Amino acid sequence: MKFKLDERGFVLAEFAIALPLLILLLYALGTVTVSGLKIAREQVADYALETEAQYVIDRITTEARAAHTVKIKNSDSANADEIFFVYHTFSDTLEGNHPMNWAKDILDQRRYTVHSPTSTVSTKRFSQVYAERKEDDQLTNPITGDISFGQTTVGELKFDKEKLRSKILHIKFKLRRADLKQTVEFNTAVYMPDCKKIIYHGETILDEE
Amino acid sequence: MLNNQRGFMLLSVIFLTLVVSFGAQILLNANVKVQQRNSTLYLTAINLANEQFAEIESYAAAGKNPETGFMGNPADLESLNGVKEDSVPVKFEVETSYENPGENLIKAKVKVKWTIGGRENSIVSEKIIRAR
Repeated sequence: MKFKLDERGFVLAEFAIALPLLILLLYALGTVTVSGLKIAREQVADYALETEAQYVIDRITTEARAAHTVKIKNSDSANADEIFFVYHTFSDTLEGNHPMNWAKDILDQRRYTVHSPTSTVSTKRFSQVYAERKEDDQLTNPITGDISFGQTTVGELKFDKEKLRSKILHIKFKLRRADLKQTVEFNTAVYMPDCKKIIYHGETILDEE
Repeated sequence: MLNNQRGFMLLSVIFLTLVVSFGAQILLNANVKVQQRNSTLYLTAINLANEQFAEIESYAAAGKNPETGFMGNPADLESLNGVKEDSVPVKFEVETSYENPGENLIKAKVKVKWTIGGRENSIVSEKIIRAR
């Protein structure tokens, strides 16, 4: 009985120390958790940014590889060119008995341009890449800009004139997060073996037709 | 003696658990951040290798012998991907070796190297190209 009385005072003292310590530690844990979540969000936004940039590069290089005609001119946005391809692709004919004979080589076309539409939710205007099948002024198919973790904006989309003389399409593509916290720049090139005609800002670089 | 220590055991456990979890969380975040940056540099390196392949194909189509050094735009060998724009850019090196696996064919092997945080990274990419 005497032993228990001694212990009761000690538990109160311990509680007096433990409570502020626990509050302090919980506050620190909350701060670190919020900071961790913020870093995780930044990482996902960076990942989405680089994925989007690489997607644009992949689409342009795939069609350039099969290009028959390439036309490059200014887009609506400063620091960005517009590129138009007529390229080889395949279509089903369903003629003949063997599936190998069902595909036939056809030509299709695509235009990649950069435009800064007026946002419905912000006063700022962000440059986006559009992939259009027609060579007109309609812009209906954005392939950058609308990621869940923040808007992106095109910093630069340029094609090297001198490399085009060797049928090489050199691409410089810079994409930024709209909050400007991160930028990715990818430079690459693709050889266009079947290209017959290249027009660069009105100048005919190649004409083998 | 044991009775006196009972309360402090609980405190110790709370304290240690929280301290260890803070440390683990901070280290984990820092590590992921470094890996995220390096993944962007990997993509940059792959694009550089593709640029080299484009040059090799162009040379081969023109009937010229391609070079072993980087034949693309020299400015592309430096990248600020994953760092702030006023930071020191990461420098890439591109080496190419060639084999002749058959008539009119060139097997090009492109190695792109870069160093970040004192650690050397590299990718190797191969492509068989038809010579003229």
